[in-house]
Amino acid sequence: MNNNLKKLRDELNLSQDAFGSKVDVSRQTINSIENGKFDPSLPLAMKIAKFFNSKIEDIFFT
Amino acid sequence: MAEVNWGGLNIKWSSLNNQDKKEYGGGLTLMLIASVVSGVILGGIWGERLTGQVDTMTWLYPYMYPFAMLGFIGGAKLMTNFMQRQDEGFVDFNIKSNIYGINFFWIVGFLIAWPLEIFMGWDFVFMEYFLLYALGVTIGGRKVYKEMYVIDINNET
Repeated sequence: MNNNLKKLRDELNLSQDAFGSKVDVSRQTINSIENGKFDPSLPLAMKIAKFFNSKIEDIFFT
Repeated sequence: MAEVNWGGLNIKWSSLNNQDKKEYGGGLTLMLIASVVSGVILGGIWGERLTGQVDTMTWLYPYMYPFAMLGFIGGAKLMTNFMQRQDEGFVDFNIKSNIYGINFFWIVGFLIAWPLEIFMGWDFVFMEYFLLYALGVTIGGRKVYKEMYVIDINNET
């Protein structure tokens, strides 16, 4: 699964660490998601989408 | 949130909060104590077999079992509590590295250690099997760490 998390995060000028603390996960988890090494659970994907005020499918896609 | 470092083999202590430290440290301590008690019991049981010496402490071992069991159960409970509070990326990392360890353990155990016991008369005691598992977790931990996190160190913005 692909995502544009890094692009969205960069737009807000947030570091991985800062963004991780906004959605209650570690910097390493954000990094793994951005690099496509780990697919987030549905609750985390929803939390991320809510943070960016977007739909899940606008952030995560295949 | 717990982070890992040093190739994935160590939890970064500074990333843990106080409750994490209590439960992770307590879990490790209880596991260590239980392992020591188990080692004394196993050493007693297997030592007699390996050395042929009569063990005069045999009567004590049945009384030590409950302490070892309670230590492992208590340690596992604390570690479970700790893991339940961690984020899913960390849990995923641990599951993956442990799967490497378990697979390594079974594959090497069945293909090498077990045939050596059966056909060559080698005596693999529990320690050797534990070492196989530990080696597998070590290899797996490093491999998964490189897959999941190493890019992070170079590309963090």
